Amino acid sequence: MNFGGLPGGMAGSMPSGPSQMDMARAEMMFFADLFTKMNDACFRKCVPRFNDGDLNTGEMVCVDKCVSKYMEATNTVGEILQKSQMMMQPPS
Amino acid sequence: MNSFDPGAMSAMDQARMMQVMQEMQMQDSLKMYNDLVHRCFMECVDSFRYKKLDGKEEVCVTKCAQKFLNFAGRVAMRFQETQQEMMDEAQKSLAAAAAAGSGSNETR
Repeated sequence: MNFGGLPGGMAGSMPSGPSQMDMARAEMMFFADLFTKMNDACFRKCVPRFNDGDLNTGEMVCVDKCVSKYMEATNTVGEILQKSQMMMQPPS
Repeated sequence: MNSFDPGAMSAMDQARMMQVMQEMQMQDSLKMYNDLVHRCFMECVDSFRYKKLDGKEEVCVTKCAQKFLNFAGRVAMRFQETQQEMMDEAQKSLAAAAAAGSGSNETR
């Protein structure tokens, strides 16, 4: 991730904006959150009822497609957000 | 609404405060990104025959995201207006209290 446009660090020992650690941590949290939400979305879309504990073939296929579509939606929304400059560059 | 005075902090504290605010802003915008994707996906995608979003779904997601951004922008604008009004009111009542205080001193 990078932050185009943020001012450079101040002279001396002043804190100068999010550090590499902060950015790495934010990126990790982003992916963790993304995973949780994708899990929730695909479960709700693909598993309408609970006959038994195992996934049937249809559900497995659905999950594969769902993950792929979700990631594509994530990229699409990310491009829109970037264009509107509402956020800094999303993690690639 | 502020219970602290930023002007009274040392330069070091102010810089630290800026850093914290930037970090919070970054986390907040990433969270908003994920929430938005989730919301638009739930609304727009219902079939899982193919791995890619079809044309209709792509358009729906795009419109959903754009509409939400416009919406969020307007909310932010109105929020800022109300904040400004509150601050102006607070300033006015402070000024009035100060004037009343100095007036009573003179009559002593």
